[in-house]
Amino acid sequence: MGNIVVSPHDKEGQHHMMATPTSNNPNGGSAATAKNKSEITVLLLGAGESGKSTLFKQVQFFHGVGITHDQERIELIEIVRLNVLENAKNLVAATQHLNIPIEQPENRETAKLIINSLNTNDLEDPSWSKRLYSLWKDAGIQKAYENREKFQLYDSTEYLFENLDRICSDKYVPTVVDVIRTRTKTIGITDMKFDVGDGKQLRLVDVGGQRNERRKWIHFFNTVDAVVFLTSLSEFDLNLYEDNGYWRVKESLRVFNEVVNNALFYKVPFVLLFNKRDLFEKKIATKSFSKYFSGFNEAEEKNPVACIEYMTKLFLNEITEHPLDTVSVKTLSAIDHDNSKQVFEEVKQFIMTQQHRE
Amino acid sequence: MSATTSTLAVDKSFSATTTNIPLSTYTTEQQKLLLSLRDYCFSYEAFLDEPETKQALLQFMKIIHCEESIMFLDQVNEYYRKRSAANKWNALQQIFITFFSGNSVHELNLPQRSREVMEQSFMDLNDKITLKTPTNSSNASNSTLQQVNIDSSDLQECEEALKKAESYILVNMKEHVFPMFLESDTFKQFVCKKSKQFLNQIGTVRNLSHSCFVESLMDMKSCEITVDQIKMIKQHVLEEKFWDCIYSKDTCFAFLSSNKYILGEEESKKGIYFAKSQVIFPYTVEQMMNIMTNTTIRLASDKNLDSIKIVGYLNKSGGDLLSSPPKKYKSSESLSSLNHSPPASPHSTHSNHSASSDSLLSLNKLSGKTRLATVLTHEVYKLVWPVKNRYYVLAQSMVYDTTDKLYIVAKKSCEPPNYKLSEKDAIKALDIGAWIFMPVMVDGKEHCKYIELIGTDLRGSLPNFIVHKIVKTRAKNFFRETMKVIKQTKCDMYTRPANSSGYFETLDENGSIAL
Repeated sequence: MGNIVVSPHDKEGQHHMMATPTSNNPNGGSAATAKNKSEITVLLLGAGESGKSTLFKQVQFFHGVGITHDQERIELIEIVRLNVLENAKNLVAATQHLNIPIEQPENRETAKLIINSLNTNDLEDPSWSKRLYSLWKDAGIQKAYENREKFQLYDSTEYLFENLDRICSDKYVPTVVDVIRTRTKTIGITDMKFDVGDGKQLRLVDVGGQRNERRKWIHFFNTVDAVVFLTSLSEFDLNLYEDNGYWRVKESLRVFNEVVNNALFYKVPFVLLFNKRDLFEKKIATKSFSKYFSGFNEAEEKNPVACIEYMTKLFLNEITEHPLDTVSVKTLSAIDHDNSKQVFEEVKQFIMTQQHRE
Repeated sequence: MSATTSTLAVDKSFSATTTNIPLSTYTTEQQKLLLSLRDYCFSYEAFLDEPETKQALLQFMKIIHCEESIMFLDQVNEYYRKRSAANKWNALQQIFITFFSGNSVHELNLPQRSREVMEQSFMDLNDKITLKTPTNSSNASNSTLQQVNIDSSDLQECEEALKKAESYILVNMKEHVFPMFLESDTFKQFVCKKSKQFLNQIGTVRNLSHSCFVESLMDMKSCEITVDQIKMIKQHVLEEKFWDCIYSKDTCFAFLSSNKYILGEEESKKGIYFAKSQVIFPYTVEQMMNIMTNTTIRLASDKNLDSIKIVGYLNKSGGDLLSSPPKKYKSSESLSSLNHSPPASPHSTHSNHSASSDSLLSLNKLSGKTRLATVLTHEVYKLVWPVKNRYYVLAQSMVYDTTDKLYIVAKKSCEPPNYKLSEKDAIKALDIGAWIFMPVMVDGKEHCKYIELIGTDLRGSLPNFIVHKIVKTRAKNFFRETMKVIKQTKCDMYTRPANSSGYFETLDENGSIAL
């Protein structure tokens, strides 16, 4: 998939920064010792719902950890079903909030049950598959769904509703795709380690992205050998989960600025991943991209490459301290297994090569 | 980078959420316990109720930096314990400052709306209280120490907001933290020092798992055989990982179980090895069943088997213990149809049965707990002097399994109520066992793969090497001797035996079940 090569930038000052001796960095030793370490710590950073955990789960999956076994996925039945209920609740709440009535009386009944009493165990009964699907197809709910930028809804909503016949059965075992698609809000940190050859191990650290979670990031900054920063391409029309009046893109840019210019990261390779490319391409087909970016040429707004190039510039403009030749930019569709595998492999190569150069 | 940096305490090449500590660092007992964890379904709610597990969870959450969630739940509990409105208000203020304020290190990760609702109601209440409480200018700062003028109805809105936040945090922990905790070293190190009883307190054994099977072996009293029990026995027999092959020649195999098992409530807890033999006979499944279940042939061919008598019968799904199989299942109708039917016929015979209205009904409400038709027998085995004779009281049930297309007889020791034993000079022994008959095609002809599970506790000392030897010798000779019996016998292999010690009666009643 589209790989954007960052060429030495037009900003003059950059090369100066590169020449700056490490002594400027109060904790400069961290990166310097990295080259001989047997463990390479890679942080996945980014604002909430940028796809850090999805990528993390994919990497686990490539390495045969956790979700590959049926038995382990059985544990996740309830989580998938909780996702279904949460999505259903959010949609029903949205119809009230947006003042769009649910049209069919029997769907209104279903909606009432969802809000008041339905729990995950009920979903073992296949009759719920029909009822929930019928609700999902209700003109009112669909209209609310079309306006989903106005409220908080998971990306996996459509997928889960389309798979209800499997999920609402007492024989249900979540598939790998189901697990990748379910949203759980990461709190604290999650990590995994795997061998990358040369007797080295890569430790991948996943973190929560919401504002309160970001305060915890500092715990790991000292030991970092590389940063992978994720941002969602499809968030251009969305507001924050933790602050509904705040534009997500603005938040992502702010977080990116803080991280990329952090003195602790001067010397570490930095990867910027534009995630959710799949959703993004679907979205710009029906929504105006230029409406949200005054500096963008409206004539180009249906061209994903042009849009992504624009976003890239926007992000790279935030870089004031980090040497640009240790920054790599890529696009990603983390729910796509093959794409994740390929992109993560490239990211790994980039990091290893940078490490080697040290 | 100095290694003493406080934040490194956690980072020291320690992976918090994936297992690092190899299994080999645990003792054998602990390893066994850890391996059996997969068989448990742990209850998140029980973990929060049980102080020890909660403590371990807190420890884990500190390692992964999300302890604020569990701390919050604790403080909310504290809040509910307060009686007076004034005390509640104090607790609420503490909670608000610690978990909702944007500057707090313990700020919760909440959706904007839940946080806002809480902020709003808290501010409203705060204003109200400030207005209500007369401010003696001198000690305005001591307002919390003074009796504030407040009653519980004032707290209502805040309490609702608090409950919303609490339920949100509970769900988030359940979805995100709990599954990771179960996989973590923190949990493993905690739980490996615990007993099975403790595990049962914080979780339930997953239905049909190996642990569940092991647990079911403790019951050697009940006379019932349920669908789940047969399922577990079948799984155990067919699952390769539970067995070590100790002999193989041509199509004959002998296995010993990799683990020891305890039958009944044996006090010494020594346990026994199970034996399994597997043989392919050049006869059809039907022919082999007719031979192997024929009581006359069994008595004649098994040098040790001294007597078999039926001492009771239980109907499928309910009813009292009968003294013998009911007449209608003893009728010879099915025998005649069997006479002229193709190999798979025993199955088709009783699927005719299950087409009848009442068994169709029972098929619909068939569950794992459904009790199967079971025959109770008393069998005496003579052993070589000076070893004393052994006798068994067994519950046995036969069904056709539509999943793997096989017939299975499951047997286990039992203690029928009011059953008077009159066995002199014999020791009561315990047994769990199975006979499995499944069709295999050899050169285009149906042959019968016969698998036998023997899990017998002779209750008396027999050295391991003798058990080993017996199993091996038996497997070696089993095929040859059975073939000899078949050739010698005058019995018609195409006819159901008139006396099958009740096996066919249970099969007729049980019919086909997807195991």
